[in-house]
Amino acid sequence: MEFLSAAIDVTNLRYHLSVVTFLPLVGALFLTFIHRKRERELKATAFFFSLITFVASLPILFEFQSGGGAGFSLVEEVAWIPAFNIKYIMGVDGISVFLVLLTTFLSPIVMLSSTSNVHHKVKEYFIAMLVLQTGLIGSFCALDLFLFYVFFELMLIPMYLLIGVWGSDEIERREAALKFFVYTLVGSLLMFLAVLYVAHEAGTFDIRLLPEACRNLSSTAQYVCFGAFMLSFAIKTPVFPFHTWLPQAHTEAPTGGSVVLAGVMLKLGTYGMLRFAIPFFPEPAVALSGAISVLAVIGIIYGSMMALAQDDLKKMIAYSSVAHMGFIVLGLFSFNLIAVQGALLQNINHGLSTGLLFLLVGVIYERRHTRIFAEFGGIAKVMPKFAVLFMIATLSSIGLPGTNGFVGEFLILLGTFGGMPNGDWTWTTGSTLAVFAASGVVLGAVYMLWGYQRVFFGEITVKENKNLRDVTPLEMSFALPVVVLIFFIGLNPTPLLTRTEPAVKATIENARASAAQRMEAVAHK
Amino acid sequence: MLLEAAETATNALQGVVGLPQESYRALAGIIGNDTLSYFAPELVICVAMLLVLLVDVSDKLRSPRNLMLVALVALAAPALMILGKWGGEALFFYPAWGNLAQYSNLEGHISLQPDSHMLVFDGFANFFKVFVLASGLITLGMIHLDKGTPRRSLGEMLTLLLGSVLGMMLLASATNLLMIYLSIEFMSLASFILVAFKRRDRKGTEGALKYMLFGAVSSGVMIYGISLLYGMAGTLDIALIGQRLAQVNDPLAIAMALMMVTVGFGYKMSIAPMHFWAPDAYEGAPTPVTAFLSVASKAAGFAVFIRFIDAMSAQSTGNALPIINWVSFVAVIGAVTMTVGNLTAIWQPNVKRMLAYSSIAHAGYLMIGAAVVAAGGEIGGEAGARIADVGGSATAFYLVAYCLMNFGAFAVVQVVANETGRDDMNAFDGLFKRNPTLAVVMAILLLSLLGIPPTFGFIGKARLFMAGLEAAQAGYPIMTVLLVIAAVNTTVSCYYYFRLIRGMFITPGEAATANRPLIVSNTGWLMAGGSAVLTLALFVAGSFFIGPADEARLKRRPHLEGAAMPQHDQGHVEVKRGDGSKG
Repeated sequence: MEFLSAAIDVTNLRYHLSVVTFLPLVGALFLTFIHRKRERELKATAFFFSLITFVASLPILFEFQSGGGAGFSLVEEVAWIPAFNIKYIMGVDGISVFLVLLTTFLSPIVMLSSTSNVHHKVKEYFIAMLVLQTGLIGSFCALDLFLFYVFFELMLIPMYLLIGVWGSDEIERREAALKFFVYTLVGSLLMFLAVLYVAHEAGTFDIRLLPEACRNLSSTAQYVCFGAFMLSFAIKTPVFPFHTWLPQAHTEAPTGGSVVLAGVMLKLGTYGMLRFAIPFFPEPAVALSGAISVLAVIGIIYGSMMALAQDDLKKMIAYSSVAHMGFIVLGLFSFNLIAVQGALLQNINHGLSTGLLFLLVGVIYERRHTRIFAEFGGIAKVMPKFAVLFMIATLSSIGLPGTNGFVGEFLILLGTFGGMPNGDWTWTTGSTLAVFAASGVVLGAVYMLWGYQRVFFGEITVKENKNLRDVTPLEMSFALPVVVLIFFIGLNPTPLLTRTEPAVKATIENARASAAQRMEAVAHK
Repeated sequence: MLLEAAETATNALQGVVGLPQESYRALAGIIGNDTLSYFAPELVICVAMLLVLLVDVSDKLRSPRNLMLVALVALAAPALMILGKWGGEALFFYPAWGNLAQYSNLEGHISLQPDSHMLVFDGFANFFKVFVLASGLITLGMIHLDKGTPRRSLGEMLTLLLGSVLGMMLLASATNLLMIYLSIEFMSLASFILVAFKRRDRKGTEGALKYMLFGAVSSGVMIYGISLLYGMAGTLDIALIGQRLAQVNDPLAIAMALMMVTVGFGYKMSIAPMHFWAPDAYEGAPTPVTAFLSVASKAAGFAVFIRFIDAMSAQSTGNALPIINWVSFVAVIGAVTMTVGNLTAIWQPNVKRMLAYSSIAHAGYLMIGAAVVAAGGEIGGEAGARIADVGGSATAFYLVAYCLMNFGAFAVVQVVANETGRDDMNAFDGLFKRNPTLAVVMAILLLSLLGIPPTFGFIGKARLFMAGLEAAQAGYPIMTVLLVIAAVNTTVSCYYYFRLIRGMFITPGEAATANRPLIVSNTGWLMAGGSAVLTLALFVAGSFFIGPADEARLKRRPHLEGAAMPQHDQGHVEVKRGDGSKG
């Protein structure tokens, strides 16, 4: 306990975010010194490090200044490569703070769940998980584009290994892992070129200065760089038609990998859009928002339809992610404060609800080693507690009022329906898109509930299902915190929304104003 | 501090090898040219070559240990001499080379005619000399590691290695086409024999024969090009040729001649389409030789190529070379090279061949730097000199990263080959189970070759890309295209690097050996593990050096700051190090 309080003390110092970011990496180093046969110790150490990371990250919420300021807090700044003006800058604002906390919150849960379902190469699994966590937290905290890119790429290798080594199917997992890697790398390398170009033009990699500095770019440069950034983030999110890597990666990844992938990693795509693509290149962002929103809506409907057609529980949830991320992108590119706020909230919500769904699928997979709907049916009779947990996750994913999913989706649809107040985006386009997107909500209810029905209701048809063990205390312990948060956000989203508002408002208004200014300048010519 | 130590060590070593300062001056006095002292590092190697042969024939002294020791001193001493004498000038990563147009005023040179120079001793040359010597030292470690090389012929191998190193050092200094040609021949002849070192190995013989035939043809083409240049310019000094070509009004002939000379360099750099020898020679040669050729030989090729294009494009601001636009030319061959290398590497079943094609791809990436130098030369003036500097130092920086990761990867290949006797892809299957640390080491090195964080290779690639953007900004849109092609190529290369990573981590090994741990010797750990650790450490720390060292470089370039060059008083040598400041 003394150690914990000491750790918190340290985090109150200047390098709070660095401590939170690199604690998991320290844990990974620790693990390398533990013998691979001592699985209990390995698991305990990994869990311990992810837990103290979470504890250490909690003060961020309190130190983080919500009052009015849209700027960054907890900023650290150290020169890294002075010749190119590359610095090590960390900081959080309303846009990133909850994503950092989501990451640190989900990590111990993932570690706990992995203690029961990882059986080989335990040591390497937890090392990969901890490195992955550092990459994720670092990406959300980095305020230097170069540093961001480093963290962004740092995640690729552990994720590749998680899918490739601990994946479910012997042959498929290799393909899935490589596909994930190549897809992400194609996008990120082109983005890297754009990063270098932008930084070269602006003379800085500092994310705080870049929105202003990017004003000097020519229109062509803005469009090209926006394209490069968006390609990378669209692949990561994923936006239709760049989503094809996702279902395979999700299906093959081990439970912990799926949770991190869906819960946190996909959010990097939408985070990147709001943090980089929109404020740096407002002109193309506004001009192309219609096209991107249409893609998002296609993603919503297409993802839902695909989810409806799956016979594999995990694949269904994977496709539902495509649909849900479509909602978030739609919200972001509506340039409407309500919708963007909703999108940001939905980022967290999707992490919680889909994370929980994947955890629960892992629970049942461990018992039956299958995820095919036909193999189930009537599970509710033998696993009542599990059925309740799954129902909560399902309802949260559908967006039932009272759960977190409702708040997010409602705000997005409300904002999109209204359109932009100054008429940049006509009322009809916005409302049409919202109507189509709303049909996605209905489809979501259809596939989720139908899937639930096929698994839990009816008679038990397969005899292996008759003696299934209900949720163990360990499984309960990692599911319950998520459930609590689902209802907490569902009933009282205000604390989150007030904290995100200033940053979002500043970002959106600046982007809109500068886009309008540029377009006007073009029109005058 | 370090440099002082190096200087002290140098003086001591000079005493050891029997060449104290006084004897230089005496020797120089006899020849009537005290610039000979600049040549001392090369002389040490010459002496050492003979020494190795003598030790090899003496029954008493002859032992692998003694031979290695002589070679070690022969490679370490010149490196320390260069570092000690020129100190900061030879600092890693930051070669400074004077504007070649000013070479006619240099004093740090060896010349046969008053206005024409054979060799120059600037920071650029010193950097590449230290680089080549360091590669030679690492190669010694690789030879020590290699169980396949017959110990009986170790003396011959070391002599040839030293000869090859000597040729490369000369090439790094050469500014005269005749000297360039001779140096290339010198290093090539030694390399041919090294490749065919396993005499009864059919692959080795085949590779060496291809290597030699390619070498013969390309040097024939090159000397034809040289003769054309001589005919037009009336001199063999490349700086003078650059100046005089501006007055020659025959663009077709100039373009032909320049391309022909480039063929000769391209063969050394293994640039497409002069790369066909590389995979066969790399596969057939003993692994240490392969590693040495893929790093040092390529670096020497780039050294002379960069010097050449800098000189040739320096005067082409006007209408001198309307047909051959260097930037586009270099960019196009760079793009072709990296694409050919990467696409072919995908299909290779043998790791050495795969690394050979990957090294061709890296030559393509390095061409980005060369193209930036060309762009700087064409722009001319101070702005141009700065851009050329950026391109040159990015190339040198990347070469250091490449040296680390490529030698490391070949060391792992060697370790695995020692154990399994094989170097195909399948030999690496299940390596993680047999030796987890070695698999992680190899993965780090491969990721560095791929160029993604957190490795030194990433910083190297970022520097190359930044240099490319600088040229693109200065009005060369083709550079942007080249960079996009390079980025796409990097993605392609991820396929074959990851094939190996997948093999090591995911694919189960062959049942017979899957559970047997793979033992790695101390040398193996030093070579492979050391490079992996450095690759990671330099990712964080290497970047700290860039800033101060770049500033130092700018200070050394008087025409950039308008300040006079501080004159280096070495105390024992009367000659000033030339940088064109005195003129």
